[in-house]
Amino acid sequence: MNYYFFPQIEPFKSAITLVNFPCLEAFPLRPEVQTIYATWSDGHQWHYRDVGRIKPNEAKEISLDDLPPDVPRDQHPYLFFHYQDVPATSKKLILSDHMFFMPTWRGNIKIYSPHTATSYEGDYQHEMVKYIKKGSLVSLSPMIQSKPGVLNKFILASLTQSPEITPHTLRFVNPRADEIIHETTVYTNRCNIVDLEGVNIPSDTIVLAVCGNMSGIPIFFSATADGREMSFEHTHPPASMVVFGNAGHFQKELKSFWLTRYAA
Amino acid sequence: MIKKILSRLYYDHVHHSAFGYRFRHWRGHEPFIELKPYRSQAVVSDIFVWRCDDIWDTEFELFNVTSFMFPADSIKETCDLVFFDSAGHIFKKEKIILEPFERKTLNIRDYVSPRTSIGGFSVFHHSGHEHRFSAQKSHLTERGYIGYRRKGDQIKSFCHGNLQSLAHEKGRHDYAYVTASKPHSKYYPQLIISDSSHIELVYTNPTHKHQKINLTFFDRSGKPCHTAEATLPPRGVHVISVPNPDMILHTFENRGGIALWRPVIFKHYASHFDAMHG
Repeated sequence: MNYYFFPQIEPFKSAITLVNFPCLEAFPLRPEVQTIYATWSDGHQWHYRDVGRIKPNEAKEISLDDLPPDVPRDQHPYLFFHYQDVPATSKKLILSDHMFFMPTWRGNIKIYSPHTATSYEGDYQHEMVKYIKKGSLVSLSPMIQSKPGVLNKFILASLTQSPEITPHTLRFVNPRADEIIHETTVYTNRCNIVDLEGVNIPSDTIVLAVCGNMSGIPIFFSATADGREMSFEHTHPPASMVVFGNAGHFQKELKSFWLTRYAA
Repeated sequence: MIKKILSRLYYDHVHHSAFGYRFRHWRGHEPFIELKPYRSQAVVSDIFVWRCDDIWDTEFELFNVTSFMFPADSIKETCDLVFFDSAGHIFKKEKIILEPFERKTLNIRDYVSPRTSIGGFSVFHHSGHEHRFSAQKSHLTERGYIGYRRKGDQIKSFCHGNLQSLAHEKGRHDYAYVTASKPHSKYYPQLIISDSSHIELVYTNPTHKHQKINLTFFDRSGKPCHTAEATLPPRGVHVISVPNPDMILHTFENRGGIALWRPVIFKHYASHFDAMHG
């Protein structure tokens, strides 16, 4: 089962496409109509709110504005769908492997204005929640479009089984100059938005986003201030720079170096 | 003890070998999307889509990947770029040297001019450190990032690579295919297209054979309401333009000889567009 988040970036709006079919025909599909839930953490427990239904083979777009008013926007709600009823609250986030296949079952996260929209094939996969208890982040990106009149935001969606909302230091690094160019605080179980305005973004190298104690989905968003042009794409995890064999070995080595050097 | 040794030998020399991948794929035990290159020192790349004409420009963010993998070693890279036209023919090769941690934003028009329209290109990162990847039975790969912009746009729409395609070993002139063929495969992109009045689906063919692709589009009730088809030569690129003025087309599937045939999708909106992978 995957979870989907809403990046809340004023003055834009966000929407999620939930897809109740796998990407390959060989994968099974549950025959039931499933319930769509919004979930959020208040720091002590997870809350669940029934917000709709999704049929097998259906693809449905739900904007943040579509959610009932009692789903608190400031608590960063996530969506998921499940074939079973879930309680109103729980001490640990409800997990299920009913969408776990390789390649993984995806969805789509969109940011839009009255003029245009941008999206990426996005989700927060249950395996990340289930197996990563602490986690860390090293994200390599050349996607910051630093120029006058262009907004640049870094989005870091975090989700853990525990409802605790804990702060962590996130650093942006210029690796060529061996310099921390920006430092901010991000929180677990939040869709964190980091404004990169005024940050000295290098043009001759990429930027690393480094966090020693929290993992998440790193995504870069750019837009003109009038919302007429937009871009939105996530970065590959470092293991994706290597294929076949023991790719995890290289991710471990890479993260070990950069975390030791720059994590708070 | 003997069982343990034999098991280790099997996994080291057969299971994780290029032959092992192909054997398991052929037997259907583990149908793979990609097949390990035979040459252990080869590096891998997507076939990225370039668009350069009166409307479009393409930029590629090239950075020294190896130096980030082994940051203590100050590694330089020589990147071999190879450009294809839409029929898959190679028309240009280029070498670019990168210092440790260096990034260069490549304006693809500088490489494909005076040709215009659309085609593919691959990027192979050679560093002299390929043996460090092969020691783990692995290969370095280039998976993007590529930005598209139209004339007059202030920003580009970024999209990362989504279909690892070719392998190349330093000093050789041939390019091996790493995408596995699987006849009659259906792929269902997990997104909607009913929010856009014009969609372009761009497919590349990362196999050594001509490939036919058939698309079926569905409305919100799941009823088929439009079809399209194309045939792509090896390394070829094809755009399927799908007008959707009434926004009836909601989802689509593609069928062809590649297990996970993921297009680059251009969704057009009133003032801009969105480039994304399906």
